[in-house]
Amino acid sequence: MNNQNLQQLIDDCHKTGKKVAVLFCSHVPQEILLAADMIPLRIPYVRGVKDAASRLLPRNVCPVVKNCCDICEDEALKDADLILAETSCDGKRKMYELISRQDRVYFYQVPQGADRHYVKPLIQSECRFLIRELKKRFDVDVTEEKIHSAGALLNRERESIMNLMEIQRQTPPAAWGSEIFEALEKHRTIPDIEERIAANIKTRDELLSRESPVPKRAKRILVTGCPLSSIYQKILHTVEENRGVVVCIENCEVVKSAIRHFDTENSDVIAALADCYQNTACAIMAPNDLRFRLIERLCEEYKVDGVLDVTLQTCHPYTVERDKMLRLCEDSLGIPYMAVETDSSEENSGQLATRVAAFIEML
Amino acid sequence: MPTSLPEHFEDFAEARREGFLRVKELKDKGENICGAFCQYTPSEIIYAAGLYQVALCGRSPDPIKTAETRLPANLCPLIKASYGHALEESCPYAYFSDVVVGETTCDGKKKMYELLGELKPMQVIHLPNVPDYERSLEMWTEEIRAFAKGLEEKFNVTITDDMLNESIEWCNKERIQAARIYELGKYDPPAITGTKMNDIMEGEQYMFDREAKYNKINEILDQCEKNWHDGIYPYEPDPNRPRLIVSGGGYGGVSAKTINVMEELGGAIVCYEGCCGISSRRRLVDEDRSRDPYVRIAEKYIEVPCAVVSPNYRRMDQVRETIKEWHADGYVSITLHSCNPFAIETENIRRVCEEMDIPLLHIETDFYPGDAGQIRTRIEAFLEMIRMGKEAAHE
Repeated sequence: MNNQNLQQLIDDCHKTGKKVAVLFCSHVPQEILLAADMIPLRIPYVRGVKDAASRLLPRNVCPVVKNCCDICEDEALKDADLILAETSCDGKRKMYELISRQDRVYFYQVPQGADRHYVKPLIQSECRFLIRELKKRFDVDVTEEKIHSAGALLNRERESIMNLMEIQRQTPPAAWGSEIFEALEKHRTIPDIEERIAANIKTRDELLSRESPVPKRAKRILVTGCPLSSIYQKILHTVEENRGVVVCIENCEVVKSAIRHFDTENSDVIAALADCYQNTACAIMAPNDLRFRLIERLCEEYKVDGVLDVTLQTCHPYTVERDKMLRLCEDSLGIPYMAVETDSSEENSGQLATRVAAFIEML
Repeated sequence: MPTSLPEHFEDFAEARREGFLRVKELKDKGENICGAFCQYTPSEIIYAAGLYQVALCGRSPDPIKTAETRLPANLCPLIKASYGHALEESCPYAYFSDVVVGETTCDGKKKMYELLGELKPMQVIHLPNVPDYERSLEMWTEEIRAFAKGLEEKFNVTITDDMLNESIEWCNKERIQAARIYELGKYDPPAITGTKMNDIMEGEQYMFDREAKYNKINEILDQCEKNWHDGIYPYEPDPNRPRLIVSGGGYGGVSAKTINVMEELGGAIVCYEGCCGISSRRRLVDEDRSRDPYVRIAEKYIEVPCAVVSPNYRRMDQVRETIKEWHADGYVSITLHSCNPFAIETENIRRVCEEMDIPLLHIETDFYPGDAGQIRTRIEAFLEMIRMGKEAAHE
């Protein structure tokens, strides 16, 4: 996505008469925003936005945080009605405090003690505070029925993403992983969720209806780690140009968020939201057993030959967690593991390619 | 004017080295030691459980190489050094700790504790991110209760309300005393140097006889005040000496090339605003015994204006007040390499300084000596600029 697409997207949303809430993280319960009759936009990496980060932030900060900062300060976002500042990682959380127009910012707290019994009650209370805030700001009533139907709708979107990913379980996988990721990135620019779901289904059908372009001998790689949106070209293409194929993308744009499910059978919708969002295998959680269990399961389901952990510079949650991931993959699962650290520039592409090629060759 | 030092100053400067022996003596006597990292650690509970608390923050570059076998290189040196010490068993304080308390302040520490927990018995305390009574106090109180329960189970003790109350009152007394140290910086010229303030606050963490420590610090403070009134100052009186406030997180490992240099070059550090300074000392725990002590403890700590919380309005208010009350001429934010919370928040502090019309110097550094020369040059220029401004104003 680039700045013009983003501005266009927000304009298109406003044309429907609805308000726009932007968010930068999978922890934010989008159901509530939908139920408030807003359009929640989960913003990916946006190219072409004006640089604000080098003025506002230290140099040694993760590129996602820098890009979020640029986006928030860019003209393209000038008409957004609300910015959900989730307190996920330190970098983003502190960056949100610096952006102008603090009147548009709302801090949504993400509890991180994954093993604490109060985590679910706390997510519930944060959901209620968000509802109260929306009422105060926009005079909208978020009803249980509306949350319920938003949950059902988002379940279908999440399922459509999982179904698309799952075509990679075949041998050989039905597509290049990069084709899938690129399609999902493109569909993110569709404001209407029904249309987005339809687009995901259509891509799946198209990819399945042709013969797989992937050679049988390609090594099956699971990609995990930080958000990929800023670096997918150099990561996914590098794997797939070096006799590998990305069979599963665990990162938060794909499996990490899409595997979650809102239980429509639960009559307590706020409890259902807490259950759904607590199930986020994100490294800001400590301890993050969810992610380790998820990786274990995905390695089996997708018959993975190697795990590639992609981390962004200065992302402490994911970089510190690498040591445990290494031990999980190599000691417990017996699957080769490699971690690469990168940023959104092109500078280290050559070195990255060499390392990835060597890793795949070894498999 | 001759300068004179209260005689106990040296005790504090030496305390960390001496503390190794003291801690071993305590162990030999069968006492239990609790290692801690941070001002968020509710000492009230540790003391009520009959434990001795010791600071574990790494400050040496030596264990960093070892740490980097498990941790990423691009991480704060304090986190790496602390973990490295535990991994290579090179810090007697960590070595002798029967339990280590880790509060999930920043991402780096939070995730490092998962690895440290494989080496040492740990009690992790999860902090709220949004420091708001309505939204976070309940969860935070529960977390503190769970911490107390964990200590009770581990050490087979019962923490009664009476024990907590007594502990609360002692800790308050110590906080009031610690705040008094910084009050000495309000004098003109200051009645204590910033280097000495730092020595006391660093050293007192390694003195385990609380009663004796309290009396010793009191003697020092009384002596400093008396000296000042007798016209004996720790600095040569100089109306143009830049009065500085130093802030930031965990600068124990970098004070030689920052704090000491500022004073050596003619500045006076009049107050520390940050995690080792007045931040945690100005707010006391409510002593109303009719209220639940855990709630009262939680209330105090939820207000610690550390850069890890968002939005951190309390810190900005504190920065404003500190500048005003201590008549500061300049503000120095010292942040450790790769520390996102303090480094990013420095931008907000810069805005406050602009509004208050005083200059800000941001020093980002690590535990290696390589940047000492460059930092010295920047401090020199900063002090020179302030001095020229003061001279012009006095003419």
